[in-house]
Amino acid sequence: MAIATAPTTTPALAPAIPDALTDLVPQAAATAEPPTREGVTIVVFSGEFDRVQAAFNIAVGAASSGLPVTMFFTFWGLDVITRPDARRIGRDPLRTAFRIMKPGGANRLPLTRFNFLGLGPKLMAHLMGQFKMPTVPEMLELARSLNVKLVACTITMGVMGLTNEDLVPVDSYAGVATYLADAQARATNLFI
Amino acid sequence: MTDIAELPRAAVVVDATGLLCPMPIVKLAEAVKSAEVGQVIEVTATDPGLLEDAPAWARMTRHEIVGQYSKGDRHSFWFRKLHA
Repeated sequence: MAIATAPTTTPALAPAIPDALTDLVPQAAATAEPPTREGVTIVVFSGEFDRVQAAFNIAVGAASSGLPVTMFFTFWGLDVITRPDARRIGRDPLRTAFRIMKPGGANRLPLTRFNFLGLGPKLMAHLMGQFKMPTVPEMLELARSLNVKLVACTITMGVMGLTNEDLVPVDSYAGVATYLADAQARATNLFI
Repeated sequence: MTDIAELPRAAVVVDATGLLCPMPIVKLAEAVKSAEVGQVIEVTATDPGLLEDAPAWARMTRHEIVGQYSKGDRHSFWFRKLHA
């Protein structure tokens, strides 16, 4: 009767096997190779010409090296993607005053140093022109043509009284989760 | 430096002289993108940064440098396009 007892023990063991397997799955995932991270994200927080130029340099260089690139424009960085002819009035008084004082636009960014009431950037643009360095508006176009993903931060747009129509065309209007989702997948994440 | 007599004939020639970073790399990438696999692309720049940037670009994009030649402030690299 030893043979008859064998089938009764097997069903008793059976449920234990799938449990053991599912317990193994997280361990297997932990020991597997981590997913390859590739590409660059840049948080463009600054709105100064020199910093923004550096940001575009990296973005364009990476895109030209076949890497995926996201530029996330927030706070003063929104000046870079604000249309130079964006409306300044028609908002609540504080934001209207703000837009008049700081209209934004890639063609009128100040320098972090040697600004001299706008003379510094003109001098710098002249010097860079001698070296055939692209201007910020040209870099923006170049980045777009190289499929750099341009994202505008919606919360700071709201703070500064900017609507989608006030900005040059971008790929998306989004928040921190969108930025982080890209950042998690990329090898290089910069804050400029 | 490769002997100039041994340098391969380039199917595409990119003149990036007078251009500064990142433009030589941008022009090179454009040329390599539009070339056929197996073709040789020659790029010449006066930006000395190219001496380091060209090998770095080749490592990232997995194309091959098949020659290099410098004369004065002109630096040239020959790349073979290895994949689409």
